[in-house]
Amino acid sequence: MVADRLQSWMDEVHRDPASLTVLSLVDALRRQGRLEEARRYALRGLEQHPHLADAHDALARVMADLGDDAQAGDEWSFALRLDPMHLDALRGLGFLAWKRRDLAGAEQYLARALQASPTDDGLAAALRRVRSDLRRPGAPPAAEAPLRPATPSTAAASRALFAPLLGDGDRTALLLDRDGLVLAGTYVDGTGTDVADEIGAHLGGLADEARRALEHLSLGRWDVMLAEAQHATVVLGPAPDGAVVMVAAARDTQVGLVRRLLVQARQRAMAWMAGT
Amino acid sequence: MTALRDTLGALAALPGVRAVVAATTPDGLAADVVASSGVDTDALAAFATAVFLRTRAANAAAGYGDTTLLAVDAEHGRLFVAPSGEVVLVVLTDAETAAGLVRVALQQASRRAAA
Repeated sequence: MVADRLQSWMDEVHRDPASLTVLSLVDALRRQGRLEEARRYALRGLEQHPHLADAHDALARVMADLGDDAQAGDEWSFALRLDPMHLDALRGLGFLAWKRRDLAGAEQYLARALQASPTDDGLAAALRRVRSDLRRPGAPPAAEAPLRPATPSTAAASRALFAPLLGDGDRTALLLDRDGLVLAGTYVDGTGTDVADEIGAHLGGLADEARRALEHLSLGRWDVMLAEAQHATVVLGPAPDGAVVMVAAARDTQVGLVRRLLVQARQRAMAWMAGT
Repeated sequence: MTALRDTLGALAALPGVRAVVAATTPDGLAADVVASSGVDTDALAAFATAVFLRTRAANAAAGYGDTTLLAVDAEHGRLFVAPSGEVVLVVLTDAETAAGLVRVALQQASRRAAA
């Protein structure tokens, strides 16, 4: 039966190279120990879906099983850039960190993974284990642990925080701190220039203005600010520590959808802030 | 002024609306008002105008063009502001008021004034 299913998946992938069945095939081959075959199919899957976090995760698992931790780490890091809350990538990077005794790094990845999947007992147990190891005498102190995911990956992950929400449409989302400085997200204009700092500076100040106005008008705390303009709809929402989440979309995007994107962006922002 | 007063009256008749103010820009002074008692319409005109003008400047600087509507949801109410000719129309509603209805009505009022 298993052999039949594998063959059926292989036939489908050969018929349709873009079929996502390749991910199931890669996993099944890997579990059977057919690692070289799994690697070949994983690479084919990535050729077809280079921006799919799950495709990078599939290759990462195979490379980890092949003992190539470096490439496994690269692939999981890439998966996280595409989807900062990708559970298996967080789990995988946590495992690799633990293997090389980077307990502080392992704790951070596993804590984020547990936030994404709070009912996962296995994750909770792994995190407890790591924290217990951290408390033991002789454990590498957190201050000496290598910087978690090599700073460029951290920066890339924060820039891509909202990417899974925005799709290919003309939309952007930013997380701004209380001073209007960009914490996460990116905003690239038509020339390919990242203008997030500039946009953040202009729009971040609106939240303060609104806060003052509402205070004087005894309307309480603000929840959503929506501005419709000729070429864009912009919504702002508060985040912890005085931060602000901003979503902007082309004017032809339904206003209700833009508000919904804000709700989702705020959830992502809050989970990310809790984990950083 | 009659047309403006009619516009304010139509907006004030919407469910949940507590006050409607036509405020001059950039000074934020109330030019005309239809409001329930207990609403400080001078403060409403001033602060709503300030937020709207700040929003308009920010959107323009960001390359988004002219601002046609600003809506702020807060704990104890909702604030809507839209340009209408030489004034801005400010609508204060209860927190539970359906935003869609006020938004459409304000946009219509704004377009009439521009016509």
